[in-house]
Amino acid sequence: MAFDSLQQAVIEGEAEETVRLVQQHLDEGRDAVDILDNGLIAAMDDVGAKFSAGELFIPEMLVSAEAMQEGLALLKPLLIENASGGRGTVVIGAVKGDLHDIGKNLVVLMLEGAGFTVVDLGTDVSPEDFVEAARANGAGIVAMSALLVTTMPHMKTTVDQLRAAGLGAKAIVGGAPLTQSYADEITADGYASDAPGAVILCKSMLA
Amino acid sequence: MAKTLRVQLLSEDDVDSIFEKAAHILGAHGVKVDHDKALERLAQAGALVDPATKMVRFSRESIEAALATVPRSVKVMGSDEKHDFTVPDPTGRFYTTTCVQSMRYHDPDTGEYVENTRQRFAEWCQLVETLPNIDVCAIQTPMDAPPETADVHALNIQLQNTAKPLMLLAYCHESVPYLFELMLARAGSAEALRKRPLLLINPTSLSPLVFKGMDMEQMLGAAEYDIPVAANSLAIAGATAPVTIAGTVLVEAVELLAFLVMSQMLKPGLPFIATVFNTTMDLGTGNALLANSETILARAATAQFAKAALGVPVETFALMADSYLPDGQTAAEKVLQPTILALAGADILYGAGRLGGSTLASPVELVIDDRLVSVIQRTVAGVEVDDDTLAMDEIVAAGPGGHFLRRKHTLRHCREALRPDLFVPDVLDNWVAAGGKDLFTRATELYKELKKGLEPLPLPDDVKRDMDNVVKSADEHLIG
Repeated sequence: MAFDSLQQAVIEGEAEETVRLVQQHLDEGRDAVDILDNGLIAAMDDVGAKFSAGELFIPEMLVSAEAMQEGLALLKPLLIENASGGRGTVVIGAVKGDLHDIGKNLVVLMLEGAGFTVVDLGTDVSPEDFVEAARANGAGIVAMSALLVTTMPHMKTTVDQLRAAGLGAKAIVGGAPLTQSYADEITADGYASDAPGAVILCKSMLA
Repeated sequence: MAKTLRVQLLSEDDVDSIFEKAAHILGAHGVKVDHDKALERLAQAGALVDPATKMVRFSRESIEAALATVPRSVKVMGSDEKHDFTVPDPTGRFYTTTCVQSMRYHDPDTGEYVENTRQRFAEWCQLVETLPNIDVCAIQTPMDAPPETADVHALNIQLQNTAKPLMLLAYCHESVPYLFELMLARAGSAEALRKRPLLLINPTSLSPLVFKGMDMEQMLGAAEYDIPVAANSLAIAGATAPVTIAGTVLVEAVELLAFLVMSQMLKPGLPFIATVFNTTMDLGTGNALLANSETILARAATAQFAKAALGVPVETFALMADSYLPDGQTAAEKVLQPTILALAGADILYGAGRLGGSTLASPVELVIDDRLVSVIQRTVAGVEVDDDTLAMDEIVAAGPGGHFLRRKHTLRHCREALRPDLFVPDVLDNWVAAGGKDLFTRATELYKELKKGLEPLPLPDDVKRDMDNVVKSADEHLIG
């Protein structure tokens, strides 16, 4: 296959080799979207499958993700805005009042590794900032996390404001106190109970 | 007296090295404290504060000064003095506390995972009141209370349903004043609360090296009312702490030392318990591991460090589980952890009633843990050796081939052996005839029996009214 070597470089986390091969494919006249979808992202899908099967650990997966990101950096200037390349944009943050972010950070790393463009707003993010970032970045998904039960109501406010703003972005939620029933109650579009689940959810929503 | 059994995971040189590195990080690099008033107070007390970055450094002198004023022992008090205890205990025994923040509950009747509620939490507190080996009742999260004031509702439930010492942690900055108002309403006055603080306050670090506003707010309140602080470091190995056991211990050491120094800067002599709540991220999945070997070792080493280098009592995660059922895995985890941690010198073992993860509680597991703890307590207490226990004369009197069943010595001591009702076996035939019930079934039956006698505390109407009014006021001001 045309991208076998490139995929292998990403899977093995070899950033320099990844960059070299991306450049080589470009020099050969291949389309940037083709290299991204069938080279880099296809490799990360394989990495994701190996992780799900327990063959790869998170730090090993992140090395692959870094290699993929370095290759992607070369392609980005060539990708036409809103082209079919990549998986789409996810705006993410811990909701207002919540400073706990290790779970959110893990989701960010895994989403980036899976080929999403991630806009990480950090912690203590107000509903207004979620809406603004979703609008500014043309996000397909707004992902919210909470560790504290006291901050969960801000998820509902954010969902409501996203809808009121008329944005098409899907709202998804996660975090220790969250449940599917709470997600349903606040009419969120999705809930995941762990980071790999969040990636699967995002893939299904932006397929 | 029996020799208290102890294990040492760290050498003296290890302890010194960890202390020096922790002091270096605090002196040369610092920690972040996200609370303006606390920063002001710390600066006044000699901390090196950069208001722009909220970074705080502590000089070697200020660390030494704090170690000189921090009390070596802490009296833990409930609303009824019969439940008071002091750590470290003079006999070397440990004490226990239930699990915090539980939002989910393993329903004993259906076996389903349901949301915790005010009713369930009230019953939980009443159950704690009756269990002989559970010493502290920790806050949980009733999911039918308004989320913004869930901690205020929960503390009110604790205060009205058990007279044992409580463990409190706030869920948000804004609710902290109401939590203190509740304590004042229960105690009757600020003076009464200072004399009998009713609880341990558990401010929590945001590892690595961050101290959040709501936790500093709790520290300030504790300093104002002389409430013992059980400050905890929640480092997650591989995620918010280095992946190695020793690296996790160092993060915990830095955060606990910072908490200790801050507590003494806010109020010299404020009672302080170093609380070791580290876990491990399973780097194969990203999930938290609560009862794995590396975590146990990191907790035990940190416990030893805190006792040796900081000279304060220690609480640790100890009755944690990585199984979601009161099953064999849970039982194994709840024996290995507390045993090792008790042997490492921990004074308070945390987590009774906890099942897998950090949000699941089970009243049946609480009953099992109560009995398990008694076994561990007895086993780590060591062997008493004197003329009476050696009983040489008894052996001589019984003679070769004799027996001891009719000896007065046996009669005198025959009720001393521990017989935890859930574990003592009948002969096989009788056990089978009685239904061949496993531990979970027997514990569920015991729980249902205990449940019949549960009731709230008989508090005066005006005290209850005052407390309920604090909750109402919190609801009015904080919701929406």
